[in-house]
Amino acid sequence: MKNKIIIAFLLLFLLVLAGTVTTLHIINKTTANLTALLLLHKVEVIRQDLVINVQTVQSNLYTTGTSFGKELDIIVDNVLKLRGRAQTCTDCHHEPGVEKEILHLQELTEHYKEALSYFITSTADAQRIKRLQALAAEIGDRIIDKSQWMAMTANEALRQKTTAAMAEVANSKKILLGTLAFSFCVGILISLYLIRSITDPVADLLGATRKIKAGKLGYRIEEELKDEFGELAQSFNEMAASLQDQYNKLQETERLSVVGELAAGIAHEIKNPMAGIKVSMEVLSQDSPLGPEDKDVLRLVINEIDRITALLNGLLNYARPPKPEMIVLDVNQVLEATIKAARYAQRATKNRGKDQERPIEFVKDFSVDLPHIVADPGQLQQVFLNLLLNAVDAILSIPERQGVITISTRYSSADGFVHIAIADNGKGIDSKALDKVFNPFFTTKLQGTGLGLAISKRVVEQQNGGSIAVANNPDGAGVTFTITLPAAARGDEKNQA
Amino acid sequence: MKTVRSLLPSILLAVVFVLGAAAHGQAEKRIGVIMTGDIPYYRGMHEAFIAEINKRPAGSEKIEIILQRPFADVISWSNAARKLIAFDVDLIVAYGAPATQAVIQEKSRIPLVYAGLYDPEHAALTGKNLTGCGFKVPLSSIIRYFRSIKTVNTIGIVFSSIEEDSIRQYEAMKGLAEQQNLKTEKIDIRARADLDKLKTKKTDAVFITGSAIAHLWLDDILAILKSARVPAADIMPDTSEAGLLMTLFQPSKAQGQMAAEMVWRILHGEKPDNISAHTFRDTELVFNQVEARHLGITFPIQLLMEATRVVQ
Amino acid sequence: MNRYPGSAHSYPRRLLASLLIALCLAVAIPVAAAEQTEELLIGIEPEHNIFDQMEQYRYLAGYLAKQLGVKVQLTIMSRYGEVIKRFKTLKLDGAFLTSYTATMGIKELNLEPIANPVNLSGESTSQGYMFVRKDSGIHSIKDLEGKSIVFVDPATMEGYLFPLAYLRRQGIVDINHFFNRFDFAGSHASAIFAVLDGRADIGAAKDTVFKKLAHGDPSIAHELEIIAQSPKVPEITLCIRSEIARELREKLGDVLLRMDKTSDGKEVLKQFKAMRFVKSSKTDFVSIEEMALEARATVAEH
Repeated sequence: MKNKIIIAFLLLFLLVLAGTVTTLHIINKTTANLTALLLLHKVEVIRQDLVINVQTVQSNLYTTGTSFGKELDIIVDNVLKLRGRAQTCTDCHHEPGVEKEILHLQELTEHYKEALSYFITSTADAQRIKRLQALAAEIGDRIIDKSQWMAMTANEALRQKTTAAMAEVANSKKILLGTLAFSFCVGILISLYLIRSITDPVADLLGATRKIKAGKLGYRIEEELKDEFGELAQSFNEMAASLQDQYNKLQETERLSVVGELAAGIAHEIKNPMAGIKVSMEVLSQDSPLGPEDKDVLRLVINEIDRITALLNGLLNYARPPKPEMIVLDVNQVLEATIKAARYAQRATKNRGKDQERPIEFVKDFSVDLPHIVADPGQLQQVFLNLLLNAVDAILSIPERQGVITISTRYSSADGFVHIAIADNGKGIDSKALDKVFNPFFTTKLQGTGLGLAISKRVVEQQNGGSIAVANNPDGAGVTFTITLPAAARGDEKNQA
Repeated sequence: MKTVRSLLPSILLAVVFVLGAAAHGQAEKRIGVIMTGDIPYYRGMHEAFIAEINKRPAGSEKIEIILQRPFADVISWSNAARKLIAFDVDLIVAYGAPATQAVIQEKSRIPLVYAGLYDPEHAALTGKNLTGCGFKVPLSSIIRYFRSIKTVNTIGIVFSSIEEDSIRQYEAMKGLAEQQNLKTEKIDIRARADLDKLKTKKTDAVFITGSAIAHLWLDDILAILKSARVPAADIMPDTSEAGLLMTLFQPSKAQGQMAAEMVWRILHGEKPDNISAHTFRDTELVFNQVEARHLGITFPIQLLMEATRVVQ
Repeated sequence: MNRYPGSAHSYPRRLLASLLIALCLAVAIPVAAAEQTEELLIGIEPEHNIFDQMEQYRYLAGYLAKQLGVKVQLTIMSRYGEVIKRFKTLKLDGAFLTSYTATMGIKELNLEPIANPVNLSGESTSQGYMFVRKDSGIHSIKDLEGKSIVFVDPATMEGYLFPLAYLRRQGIVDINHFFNRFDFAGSHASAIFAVLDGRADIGAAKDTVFKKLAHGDPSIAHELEIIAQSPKVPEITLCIRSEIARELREKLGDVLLRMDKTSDGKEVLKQFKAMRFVKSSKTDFVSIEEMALEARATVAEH
């Protein structure tokens, strides 16, 4: 659009410039024509001067005869003026024909001067002097005749030139008006085009904002808008998408909050009777004279009550997570501690007599100069442990595979985040299920509550803008969970644990 | 002009008749006169001659003049000379070099007085018993004046190769022109057909020598030159004042008068050989303004000042 | 006894009147002697083309006015010969004069010669030539008898005075009888052309003109023979009335003589067609006066 506006203004400028140049040219031409006319009038004045000069000299020639006195100086003056006048004729531009005549006139003037000079100065016999007088007089008459003929020619030229000049002026007027009208029309067209190319997209955008305002968050600008408006429309669409996303999230959060409150309430209400039932069942199984078969049933009931209680605890945890206590900490240390706990947990499971004998290798790929972060170490450890145990479960679900869990930490100076990846070489997650793993109550395990990853996600997101993501490994074996947490700012270092 | 020309022979004949009639009763002297050509120049000379003779005090002797005006060719000149010798005239007056030479060739004892010869000092006159006068005109002035009125690269010279003095004028003019790096075109007029040469030769200006033949057809020559807008100059006066741009000539009257003076002295006993020949060098310069206008030529004022006369 | 009867009583009044007149004269005379010049009127003797000549001299007049601080007016003096008369009637303060008129002016009007220009060929002088056609057959003074002679103008040294004086020295006293005809051509060039054409047998003219024409047409020198030459005299001289204040006269001479030393002056000299001015004195004209004496005797006798 910017380019278009610049081009449009440039075009307008050029148009104005062209108009100005045309106008100036026309003014110049007209002025030149008028000057030429004035010049022609001036020529007539020159000619009249010339004739008057010759006539004066001629009368001197006839009246004073051969005896010149003081009047000789007057004659000399007149003749010199005459020559001056004749010479000014060639100062202007003339057509070749006129030029020739003027040159002839000048030649005659020179002859006249010479003849007069001879006549005035010669002391030859009377016959020769008379001859010179006649000759000078004849040349003088010829100059007068010639200049009169030229006056007639000049008058004709003057008439023609005046007509031509008037026609030229009229023509110039037309050209000038035409140029003005053309400039005006083109200006209007350009303005219309510019207005249209601004108002149309603005109307589209305005319509879209109104739709969004009306709650139609799914509305997108479908029109192919040009230039910056295209970019604006794209941004608008992105903004609308983002708005919709955020709205959905908000709804989800609200929903979760309601469900959480509900669930917590229910859980709390259920937990107490459950505790009572469990205690009753334990008393009954220990103290009652029930047969071993009945006691087994009771133990089964107690087990289920434990499961219900665990589920309720998880639910409470998810719905009303504890407030994090943020401190500056070293992620590598937290991971180190968590890995130890995980190893212990794995051994504990093995000792419980399960069929898991395979050792799982924990590979630590820690960045040495990892910056500290600000987080709740307990909550963080809970998340890491959950992920490590999930990994162990995933590995163990595939028989005869050497389990390897790789825990790596990195710092990206580009985004200022610490990245923690926990990768296993287990069975991996079905790509369709991949999106849902963080949803509450989604599980692939027989014994799982489906709350572990959902809680982990909530916990991570509570940690100062952290996030968690999952992806299948590129080689197709296992998954990698990646947690990103912001590195601590310098000022935060002081609060280090 | 034509009427004057046609009347002139009648006037002359009348003069001869009157003189002849008067001589009847008394002892008379007979003078034979030959003109190289019947042209104004010699006629003017002859008029002056007669006028001068008539001025002389009439004594016991009456003078009869027998005028011969042969056509301008070698045979006619010779015939005219023989005729006068046969008449047994007392003295022969010849106007122009060809007539003079024709008389000399007849080798008679009759004294001869010539006039109208160009530069007689350089004429090949071999006979005895003769004297006379001639003229000389500075031909260089003709070139000078031509050059001061227009650009001249080639000068045409009209002459006749059967006239001795015309040849000398041609040679002299050619020499002068060459000195000034000008080309010359030889235009030899022996017969009327030769006039066509004027149409083919490219010239900037033409000089007409004092040839009798050329002057017989002068009007035709000038008509041709006029149509080609070529200016012409002559060393004989332009009596008709039509066609010649300039003439630089010796007035022939003086020669006629001097010839009469010489004749008178010879008739009164003086030997021709004792009377020294004379060359007239005084000239008159005439410019023709009318002709200049025809040719589109403007005479410089200085030139018009020089002229003895300007034809307006 | 009273020699002036009836006037005794008026004597003191007369004395008073005389005294008054004497006083007025005493006051007026020094004023007249030290004439305060505000304008110089300079005459120009016409030569070939008076208009070109006038333009040429106007440059000089302008320069002189600027240098002297006085107005310098020019006036053309018409035909040759009337110069002395014109000098008086026009009340000129000075004039550029040819040699003969300058001589007359010095003698009759007590003019003072100031300076004369050096022409572009480096000549400030001119001389008279007498000439004939080489083919004229004139070889001695005797041959001149009965011929025609052409002079230029009675007021020229070169074209009249000199040939007359020369002929006089050769023993020819009466030109009317000695020559068949004599004419005045009106100009030096015309005199030369007259002899070239044969319109006259003998001619007299100025060497500068002769040389100029011969330069343009070499045939002229080839055809003419110079039979006598006059002494060289200043060609043109600025002569000033001696009544003009000495200071101004000296200043005028000084300005002219130093013209070629200044750039302005050089420029004017270029327009004036001269190289410089040289000092002129009355002695330059002695030979002309002698010639005039000889010639006048000849003129007087015919």
